[in-house]
Amino acid sequence: MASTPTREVARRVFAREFNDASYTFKESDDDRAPVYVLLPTGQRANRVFLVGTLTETEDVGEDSEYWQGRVVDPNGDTFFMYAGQYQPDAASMLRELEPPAYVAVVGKPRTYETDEGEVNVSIRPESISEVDEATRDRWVVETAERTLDRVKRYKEADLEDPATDEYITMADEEYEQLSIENYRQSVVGALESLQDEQAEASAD
Amino acid sequence: MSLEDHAEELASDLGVDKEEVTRDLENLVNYSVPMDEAKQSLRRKYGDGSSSGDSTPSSKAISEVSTDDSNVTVTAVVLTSGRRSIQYNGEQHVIREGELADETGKISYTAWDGFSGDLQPGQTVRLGNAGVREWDGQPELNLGDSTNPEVVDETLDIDYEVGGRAALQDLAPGDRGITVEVQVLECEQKVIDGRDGETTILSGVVGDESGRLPFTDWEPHDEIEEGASVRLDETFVREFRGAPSVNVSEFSAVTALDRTVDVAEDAPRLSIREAVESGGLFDVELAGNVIEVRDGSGLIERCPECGRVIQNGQCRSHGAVDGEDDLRTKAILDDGTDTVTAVLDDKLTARVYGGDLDDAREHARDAMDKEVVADRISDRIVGREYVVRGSLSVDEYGANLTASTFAEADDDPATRARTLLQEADT
Repeated sequence: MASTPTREVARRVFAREFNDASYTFKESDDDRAPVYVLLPTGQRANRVFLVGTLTETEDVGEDSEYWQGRVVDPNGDTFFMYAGQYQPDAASMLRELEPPAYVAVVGKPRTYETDEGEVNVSIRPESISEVDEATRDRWVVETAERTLDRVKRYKEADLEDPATDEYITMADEEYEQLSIENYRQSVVGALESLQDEQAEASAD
Repeated sequence: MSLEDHAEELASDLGVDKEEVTRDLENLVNYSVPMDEAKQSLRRKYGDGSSSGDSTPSSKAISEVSTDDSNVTVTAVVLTSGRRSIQYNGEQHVIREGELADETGKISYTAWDGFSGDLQPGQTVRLGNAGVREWDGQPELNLGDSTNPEVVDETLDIDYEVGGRAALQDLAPGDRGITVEVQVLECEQKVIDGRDGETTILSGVVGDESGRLPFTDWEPHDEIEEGASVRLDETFVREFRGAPSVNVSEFSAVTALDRTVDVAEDAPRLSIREAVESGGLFDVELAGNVIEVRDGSGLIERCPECGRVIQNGQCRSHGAVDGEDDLRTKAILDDGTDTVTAVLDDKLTARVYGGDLDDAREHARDAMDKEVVADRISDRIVGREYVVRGSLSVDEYGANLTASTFAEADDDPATRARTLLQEADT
């Protein structure tokens, strides 16, 4: 049977976990093989989808336009994204949008090592679109659900067992110093903020 | 040992007629085949492929039958039995297929036309020397002229229901001898170019409380008409465009029911990964974010001959043609577990675009660019969450959901948030 062409699924992840995902890898030697970042909860990601509040945009380019956008999630953590001449649609959105605005972003994770040896994780957007608050709220809940699933799988995994998911084992090896508990907390924080907003809205 | 003795031993080992074996054995020996080899040859002929000395098919529990076995003897209850006519070596054969069960499990079987036994659902049968073949990695029983059928007066305590009564949702390609009670939702007559020239068939959609499936009636029955509630006995299930379809044949019994079969309003909701892994679903509901509008969306042109989308006035099959304008959207729907391409027809596209074909033509003319139509669709739907119902196929063209409805999600995230919060706090 002919194989079914597949497309990289867009992972849902809060900014705290995303920014910790500094380890990248490829699964084959092919030059065009996709690059994955390893999420600390033990899943590979070649694409992410996020909805949050665009708080600042700035053209940080020297010779040509190179736009930086900051998108904040419900915990106040920030996704950084950069779009230049090779991402014309995303760059023009960043140029034109008036922060604050709710935006949905689809993009590829990118890592960059600073002179100090720190690894910064950012997004190279494929598309940025303006959305409403309801879409953003639904993303928060969905991302909470997916993150919680990953945290559970990670906690229940037996690292001694060779049948354990390879990305969980990889995360255990690559992110020794990170605590999985942080990501459960960002789930709780995000969900609580949603409830606070609801309470405020009904108090008005 | 005389030839007769050898024949007798062989016949009892293989569970086949002694005279037949004697004749075959004589024939081989007359052609100078040594006795030992002649016996081996007959063992192979009658289906015992094992090279080991022990050639008696052993009695086995169904759960113990494996693809390593060549022949087995089982005692089992017939669960289902469906006849089907197939063409083999240019000849028409009627075969029976279905499932058998004992206390330990169940197994599929195929009975070829040489098999003389009775296979009434509910009957307990002892099948001496049934061949074992592998199908899709699983063992199946082959019943032929070397299989010894025997109806036995024994009650087995089986975990399965006898008879092929099933809900549409539970059907899978390969099911045989199935009985369903359904309402005919859509039905049309078609003339196809079959093996024996032009044949009239019926095709359409049937539904029950569990869901909907396409059907084909290869031998049109009068009782099957739009709106009718019918019982279909002895049908089989085949794959059609990646989803199961109910097949009614010359052997099926169609009975009009004096009640109306209720049909499920809603399609089952699955995660995209579950849906894609199922290999195809006739009617399913998926929810996810549109994360991209693919090329080939918006104002497109189709070949007037075949309806295919064409590029620059060139059809892949018909060369240079005068294309006909149409609206279509191919939206990538992603729920974080997997992705599908939702394909929206002209009506659904007009709704997400906010205008009909004429509006789109004018829009493109004003901008002197067709892409503006797709761009506006993209602006309006990318990033948002949608609930899409339709028919899913998964094949070499990818996972495509032909949408029948496409609506923005309107569930309340607060309720889900509350439940999740409890889960997260534990």
